[in-house]
Amino acid sequence: MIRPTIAIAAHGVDVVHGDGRVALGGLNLTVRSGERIALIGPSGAGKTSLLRLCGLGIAPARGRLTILDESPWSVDARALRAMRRRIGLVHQMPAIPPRQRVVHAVLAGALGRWPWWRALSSLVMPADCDGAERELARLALADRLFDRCDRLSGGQLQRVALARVLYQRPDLVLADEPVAAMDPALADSTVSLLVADARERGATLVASLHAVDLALRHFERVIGIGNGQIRFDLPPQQIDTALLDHLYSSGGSHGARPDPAPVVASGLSGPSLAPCR
Amino acid sequence: MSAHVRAPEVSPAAIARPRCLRCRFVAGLLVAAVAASFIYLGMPLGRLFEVGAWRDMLAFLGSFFPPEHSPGYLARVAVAALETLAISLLGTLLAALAGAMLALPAAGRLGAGARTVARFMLNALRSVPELVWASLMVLAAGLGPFAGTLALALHTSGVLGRLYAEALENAPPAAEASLVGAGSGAVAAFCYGTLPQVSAQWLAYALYRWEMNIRMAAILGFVGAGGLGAMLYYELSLFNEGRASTVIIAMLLLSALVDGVSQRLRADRPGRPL
Repeated sequence: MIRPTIAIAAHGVDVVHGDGRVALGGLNLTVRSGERIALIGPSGAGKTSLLRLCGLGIAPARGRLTILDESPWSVDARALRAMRRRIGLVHQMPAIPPRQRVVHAVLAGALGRWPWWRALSSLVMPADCDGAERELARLALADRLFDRCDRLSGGQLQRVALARVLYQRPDLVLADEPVAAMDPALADSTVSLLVADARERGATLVASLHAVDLALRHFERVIGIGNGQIRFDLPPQQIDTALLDHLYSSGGSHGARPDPAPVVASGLSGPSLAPCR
Repeated sequence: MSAHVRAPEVSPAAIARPRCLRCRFVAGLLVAAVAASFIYLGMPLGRLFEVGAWRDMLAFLGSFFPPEHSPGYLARVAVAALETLAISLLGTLLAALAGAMLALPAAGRLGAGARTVARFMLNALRSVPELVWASLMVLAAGLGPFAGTLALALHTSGVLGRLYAEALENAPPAAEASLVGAGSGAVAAFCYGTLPQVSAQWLAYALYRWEMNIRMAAILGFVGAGGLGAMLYYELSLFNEGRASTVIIAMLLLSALVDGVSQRLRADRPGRPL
């Protein structure tokens, strides 16, 4: 496969929610292939929207978007599916059926490249136990291979979701708060694994993180987002306390611990508050 | 009835005279309706308390004892019981498959048009009772267990399809959506994302219907659809009460057995719906 040169290119992209709220406004961003980027910013600032935009989960309302050298919303369904295969998005709350075995949850990462009959037969007889176990072992979870996902803790479930994306081996890895439910030490080693995996494979990694120290320690480029706009886009060495304070206070709250409520009140006002059912 | 249900909700002060008048009016209407029904149906209730009637009843019940227990007849009953078991099992299995097939469009996965058609089909299948289906199937497929199996399968697929569709609609869509977002095909995404969320419920519904179907399969024989029911109908027509009573005992044992098995299977699954 030819490595893409541009992983993400957005020019004047707006993302608007179904109820008319603007999630991202006039976004300009270029990510070269192989870059590893952290997104930081207060809750509700638009980090998840940006990741979903890049993961082809939502279409831009305006502007030009290129993902992996292609324009996703002007290709046919077949090509779109081929693109999705090369993108792996880890959700903040991993959407894994509670009764599913860990092995199937991890192997589901290969569903994009497996034919349907292989996918179905794997549910009866797991097609690649070794592969699933290998990825879980990297996350220190190999002993839970045949456990049911509802027997796992939140942090373990997040690691299963990460093992799935590792098994998928996508060109573009998007992670939305992938370590939010883990303790600091585990979060650190997990982020470092994600970064190392992307570096080894030459994949592009974009991860949103609440823990600013993780972003500054592991990533070469850190993007601050507030109120649906990019506030800064800098290497970690150039980011100081004043910049961070400004980022997290721009939404209405102070300090490194963002509080979601004021962001909603100031940034996303109007119709969202009206119909209180 | 409704007055009883509502009573705890209202404060004593609210039970004023007008409300009580209404209660009395409704109660009076009920008594009048019951009395009118008795008169209309001409039920000679008094006869229940006559000595002669009791003697007749006891003699009738006595004629069922002792149950026929010659080895040859017991073997025939056992064969018929197996036939009933097979009818209920196959009927329920076919219904679970057909129900699942119809549940997918009925849950709106293939568009609004398919949803309306599938819902209509499920309603039609469900609203015709098993016995009516059995009479129709006996005409269409001839006497015997095949007609009974089809009859059970038709009615039960209407019931299971409806329940399966509801389970599908209630399953959170995020898991399947995230698989589609990673380039998975529709079939694989359903089997990995949504099926694991409904499979336990689907199985529990099927087992529960199997319990009901074993009893129904025992009756279906009355319209010629094979199994214990056909045997019971035959023996009763010839006034062989002793033999009929063996068949009735076999029916009781069979449903007790299936109830036990089904409950064990369903109890092993946490989060069961029934």
